[in-house]
Amino acid sequence: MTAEADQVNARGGASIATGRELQRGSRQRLGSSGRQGVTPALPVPAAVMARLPWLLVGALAGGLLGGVLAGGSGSVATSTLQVTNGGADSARVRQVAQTLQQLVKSSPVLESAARARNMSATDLSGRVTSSWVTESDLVTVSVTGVDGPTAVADVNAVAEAAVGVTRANVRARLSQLRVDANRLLTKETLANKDAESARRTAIGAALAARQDSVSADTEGIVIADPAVSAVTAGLSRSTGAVAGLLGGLLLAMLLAVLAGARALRVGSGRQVHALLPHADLSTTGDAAKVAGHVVESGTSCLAIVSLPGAHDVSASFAMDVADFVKGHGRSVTVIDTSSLPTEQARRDVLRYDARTNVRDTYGTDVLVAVVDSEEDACGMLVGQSNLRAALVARQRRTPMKALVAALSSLDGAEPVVILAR
Amino acid sequence: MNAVERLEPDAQGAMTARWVAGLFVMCILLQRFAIPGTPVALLLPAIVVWGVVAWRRGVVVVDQTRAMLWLAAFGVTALVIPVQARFVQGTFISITSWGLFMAVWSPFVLRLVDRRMSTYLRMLHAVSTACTWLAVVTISMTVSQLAGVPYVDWFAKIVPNALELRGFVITYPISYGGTIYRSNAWIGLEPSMISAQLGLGVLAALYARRSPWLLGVLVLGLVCTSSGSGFAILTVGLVVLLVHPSRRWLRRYAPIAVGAVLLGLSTSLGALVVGRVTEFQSSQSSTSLRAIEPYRVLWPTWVQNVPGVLLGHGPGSSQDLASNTNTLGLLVPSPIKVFFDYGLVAGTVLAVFLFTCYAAGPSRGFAVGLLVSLWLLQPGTTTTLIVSQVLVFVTLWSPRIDTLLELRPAQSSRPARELSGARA
Repeated sequence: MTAEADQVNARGGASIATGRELQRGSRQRLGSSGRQGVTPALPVPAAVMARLPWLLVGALAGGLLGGVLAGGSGSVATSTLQVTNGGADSARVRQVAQTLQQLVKSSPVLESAARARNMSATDLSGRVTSSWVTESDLVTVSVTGVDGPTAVADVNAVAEAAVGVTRANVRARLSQLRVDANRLLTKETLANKDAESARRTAIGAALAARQDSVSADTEGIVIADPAVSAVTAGLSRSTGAVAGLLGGLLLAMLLAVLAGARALRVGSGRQVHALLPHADLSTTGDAAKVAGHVVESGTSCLAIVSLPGAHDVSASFAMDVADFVKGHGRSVTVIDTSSLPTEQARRDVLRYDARTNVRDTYGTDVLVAVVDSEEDACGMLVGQSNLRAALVARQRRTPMKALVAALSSLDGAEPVVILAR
Repeated sequence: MNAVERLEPDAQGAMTARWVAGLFVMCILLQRFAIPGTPVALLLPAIVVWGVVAWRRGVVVVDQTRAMLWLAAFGVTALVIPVQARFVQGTFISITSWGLFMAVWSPFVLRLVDRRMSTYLRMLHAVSTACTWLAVVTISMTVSQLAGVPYVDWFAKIVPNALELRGFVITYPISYGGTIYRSNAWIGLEPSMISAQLGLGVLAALYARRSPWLLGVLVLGLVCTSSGSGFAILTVGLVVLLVHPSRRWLRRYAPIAVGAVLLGLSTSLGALVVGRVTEFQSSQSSTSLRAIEPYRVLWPTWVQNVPGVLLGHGPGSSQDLASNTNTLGLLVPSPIKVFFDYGLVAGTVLAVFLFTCYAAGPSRGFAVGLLVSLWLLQPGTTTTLIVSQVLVFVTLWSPRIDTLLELRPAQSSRPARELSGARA
């Protein structure tokens, strides 16, 4: 028998394989969509839809994490300053506004504001931002605080300080002009009285002109819109939860795709079709269809491969198919290999020449063999094409991985997937 | 077996080429449209719909590797957002910025069923034809102005405001105070966009071995845009061609190339384009504002603190910072967008996905040309029109199933029509 098996192997070109080969790997073809040599996997959309509970858990966990991390950043309040005397030249306005944008964060302003709020300038400096509103004469000032009222008070203090410092600068410049003019008047006197009088008049006129220029050039800054309320700084809890939810959902989908068929069980026909779009699906009620294919194809052997969890269904399905084959006028032998006493006996039923010469071996036209996919003898069918195969899977019991492996291994036998409830 | 697989190979190739070329044409025609009342390009949902319909028809399938990388990239970047808010000071977070990024790159999880080289060449043939028509219109706009017809933005006059995409410089005079506007073919979002499309058209024409005269029209159209974007892509593509055996193809085009260069240089438009080559030395030039100034402006903020480097400053923060400088024309290139906004951790995952979209395509010239353009010169992450070019010429065809186009023997680079006839 061993020599005969070797001869079969030489003819079949296949090494003796065990049933475990059916469980190993997945080389399912997906038409022209796969790269040659690369093992294709389950379609991504179907792999994701098959793990809906994972998506739910991922989304919830992510949302929770995002909500916890976000928020707690305090509040931010915004005040708006306006340059009132910038002129009509847009370039000049931009220059003044951008200067003000920097001035707001300068030490004199921050120190003044900090004094008003009884805090240090250092504490305030890290919480202040300013921005020029493009193509306008407005500058917004924002301050974050531990809560709304604090943020409002702080930003208004900064805005007022900016206005105050600007006005103080103007007064300082005017004062300096007066000091310089007085020194000039008192220290550089001329001996000639008429000349001295003219000098004093000229200095006075020049001083007046410069004072007027300083006052006119120095643009007025006012608080156009003081802050009255604050909003949540940074990310609100709800937004953080949304971001976390989306992140958790996407990563859960990734895990579902990575998991593939692992730990997945055969579900509904729709699920199997989505995961295995090229598989020929039927149910246990389609015994006539399977019998018709056997008769029409002229093959003499039909293997009913029982996947894990489906043996009892397989045997009854085999009898149903046999009845229909007989109905077509063919004689049938039905063998359940699990009832045979030895492994060798099971292999003898399934070997190549036995399947080819059914009439000589059994005296009938057709052999219907029920074989368990986990038996070693099932390996006799791997890579074979002189038979038809029906893979019986039980919904919610048969691992999807087993079905995928069986489809791949028995591809030459044009397998039909029989879904049993 | 889906609808595509039921077709004979030649019909399958023709159908696939039509789908992809149709996508490219759609990108040309819809580039100035916006989703009504929003600042989002209409092209974005249009491409997504294209992808869904193509998937249903069996023209494309989901590529598992890119799908997993897309899920990883956008899952990690989404989860890092609340972490940024907690641990990084001064963040600017725009969820819509993240959402736009995700949406723009969602079609990149797809790949074509038929990725044969003959089909790719068919597509290039069709694209070069479409670009030739675009070049004709581009040239017409310039010629009409030279003939005294002033430029009128007919698109803005005809299309309702709500449908018009804002925020782009539609066109502007070639020289300050001049009356001749850079050609945008009237329908272009910017002259640089039309330039990029025509640059790709020239490359497509070279690979598809189109006639030298057609190539001349394309180059002339490119010059009329007075923009360097297309020339940048073309130059990189040509360099790739020259370092591969495919350089033999170029002999056929040498005479017209020399003629075009000489003719171009003798015109003010050509001189202007040549002048753009060294303009990066000026900090106010377009090239500098795209490729150098953004790094100078944003680098100090990025490295201010360690959490900011690792976690990023928030989606949209780089654009916000760039806008606050009030520097007209300052763009945010892709490396900044990725690493400034999302940090080294999430940014690396995102960058891996983005680079995968440029890998394993049928043509190295297109892949490298677009990679250089989108990562160094263009805002190549969330501008749908720019990003879609990678989809059309590289990603949909990846992973390639034939030999790299530039490595194929000379006789295999026969014009696409002959190839398709031979396979039939």
